[in-house]
Amino acid sequence: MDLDAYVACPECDLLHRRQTLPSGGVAKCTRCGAALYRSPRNSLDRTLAMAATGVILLIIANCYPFLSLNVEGQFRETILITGIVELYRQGMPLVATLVLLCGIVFPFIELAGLVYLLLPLKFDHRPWRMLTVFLVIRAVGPWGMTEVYLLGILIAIIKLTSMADIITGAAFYAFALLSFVVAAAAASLNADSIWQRLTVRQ
Amino acid sequence: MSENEQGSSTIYYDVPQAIVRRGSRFGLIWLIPIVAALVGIGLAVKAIIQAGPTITITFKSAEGLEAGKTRIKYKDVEIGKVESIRLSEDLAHVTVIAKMVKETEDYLTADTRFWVVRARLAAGEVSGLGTLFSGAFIAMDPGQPGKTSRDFTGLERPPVVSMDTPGSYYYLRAADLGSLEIGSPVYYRQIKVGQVVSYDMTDDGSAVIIRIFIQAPDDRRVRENTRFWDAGGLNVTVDTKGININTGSLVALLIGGIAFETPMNLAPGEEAKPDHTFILYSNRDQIEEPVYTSKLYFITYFDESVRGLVKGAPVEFRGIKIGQVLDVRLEFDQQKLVFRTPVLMAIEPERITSTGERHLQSDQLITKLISKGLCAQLRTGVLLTGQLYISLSMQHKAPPKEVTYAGPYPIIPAIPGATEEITTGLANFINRLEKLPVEEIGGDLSVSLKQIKKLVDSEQTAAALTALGQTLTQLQQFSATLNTQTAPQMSAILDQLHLTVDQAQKTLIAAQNMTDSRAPLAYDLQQMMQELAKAGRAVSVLADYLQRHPEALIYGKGAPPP
Repeated sequence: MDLDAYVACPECDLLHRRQTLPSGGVAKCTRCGAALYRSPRNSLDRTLAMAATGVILLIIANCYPFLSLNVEGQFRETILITGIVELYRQGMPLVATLVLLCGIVFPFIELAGLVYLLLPLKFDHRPWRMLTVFLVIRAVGPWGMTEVYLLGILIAIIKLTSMADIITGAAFYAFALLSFVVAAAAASLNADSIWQRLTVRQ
Repeated sequence: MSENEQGSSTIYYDVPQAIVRRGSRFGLIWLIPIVAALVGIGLAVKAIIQAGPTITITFKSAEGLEAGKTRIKYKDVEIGKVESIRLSEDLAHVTVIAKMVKETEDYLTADTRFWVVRARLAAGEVSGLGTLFSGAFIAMDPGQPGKTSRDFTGLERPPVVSMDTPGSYYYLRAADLGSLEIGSPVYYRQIKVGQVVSYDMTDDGSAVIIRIFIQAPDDRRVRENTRFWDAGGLNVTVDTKGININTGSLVALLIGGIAFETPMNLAPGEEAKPDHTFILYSNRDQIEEPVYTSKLYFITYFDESVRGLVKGAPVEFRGIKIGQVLDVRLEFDQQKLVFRTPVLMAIEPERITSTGERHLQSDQLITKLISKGLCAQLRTGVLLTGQLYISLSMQHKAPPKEVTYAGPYPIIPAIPGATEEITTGLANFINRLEKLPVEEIGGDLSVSLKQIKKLVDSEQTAAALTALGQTLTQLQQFSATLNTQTAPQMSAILDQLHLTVDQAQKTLIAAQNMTDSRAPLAYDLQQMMQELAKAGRAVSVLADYLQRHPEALIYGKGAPPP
């Protein structure tokens, strides 16, 4: 039996036969309605592009000034990592680690991992330890919380505007975009096609 | 693939297989990462292009400076940021490493100045109060375009004048700094037109060179013959004119100041070039004295004390100042072992209006005058301060003298001063006193006394004294006999006299009663009374005499006793 010809529902495990989808179409479970797989068109390309953009944005967000505060002549320029360092200095190493992981490290692992996986696949190569990397990406994905971090920063900015002049830097915009790009990359990632390639080339 | 085909294993080979065409590997979606990458590269390139030079500034202390936080500003625009602060290897100062913006590159030259702006109170001005809240920052004064530099030494205090202020710098040469400070104002007609920028000692330490800045357009007022004077502090001068107190404005009194003026008695000179060196006079009076270009130098040797004669003391002729004392020294002649006090003075012949045809050079004239009896004399100017001045006068009585020279200077002979005359008189008197042969007299006296003593101690004297004692005893005995024998007779005579006088008195009273005072008889009586009184006096004299010389009764009056 050609295993590739069938697909199991990720929710209720009902086996379906694969069939060609129209462009942009979605195959849904006949029993529970969960999405089985999407039209594979451009999925890899889109995800790779988003992941690459994300990596670039993340680098920008970490290298350039994030926010500048001017409180009565006291001038303070911050980069993305400054807040985490401050948390650590103020005796909250656990919180700092959590923010560092969720805000920067996990999104970076996810995006970089995607690039690592998808770039060779696009050229029909099989990356080294593909399965491990993909599992890591899957595990780390939910922990990437750039949008939460961004929301926290936005709230802080809104509260501070009454007290201080705040100048947002390039990194801030890069980070804001990043949270969308991460979401887009996650959305466009067709895990099914990865699994397919994993099985096909094994 | 279709559902039917998937379901069956039958392959229809006559159905042509579609031509598979690979899709474009680079879809539109790739624009997103490309744009992101371009933006990122753009930012990076911008950062690299705009990266200004990294400079090091050396300060004595990093007080108020923070790495990553302290800004470098020019006209309050941020032009750089302190990246790190390090101690120098010898711990003597701190090195501040700062990243500047690109625009400053051309201005980071050797004369670019950096200093830390903190709140400070100096030179009558309060500055940098804003830094109390914002923290210190480093200010820059861009240098003139020239040789670029990356290592700077920070100033410890803000420069007084920034490079872009139009104006000119000048140098003033002064004997001492007085109350001047960096930032002390420079006044022209009591309006502040500049400041003291720096000061330094000359290499040999003989004077102070003060650098001042006069801002445009007032630097045009500085002419080559402009006079600067110290207008600061409290200027008290004591000279032959008395006590003179001079002060400028209150600010100048506190922090010193310089004023300048072009004297009206001189033709306005050329506009002074920048960095021209002027002399800083110590007070205004000095600049107002007309300047005499021609000077004649003379020396006078005084043998008296010149205490109170200072440099600059006037030289007067008939009470009119014609010059001044330049130097007072003490000389010692090692051969003759004598001290002399040469006083160098300058006489300004232009002060004297000469009439008549001038056929002699003024120096020849003065030497001629010296040979005719021109003399110098020390005189007291103000008794209170004891200031002396030199008075020149013509002593026609003095015999004509040959003019002598001390080095290049002709010597004006000295005559004793007024004080000197008194002291000389006193000294002469004392000299005469000293010349009295006191010792000789004393010697003579002691010799005489010795002789007297010898005489007194001799036997002859003792014998003579014994004889004298005997004589005296005899005399005593004699007078005793006189007393016992002569005195009763005497008293009898006296009694008789008394009686006679009584009778006369009675007769007189009777006569008075009988006669009128106006009658001739009264006159006669008066005469007679006078006669009687005379007689009485004679008797009394006689009685006296007898009392003293009872022997007269025996030997008669005038005969000497044996």
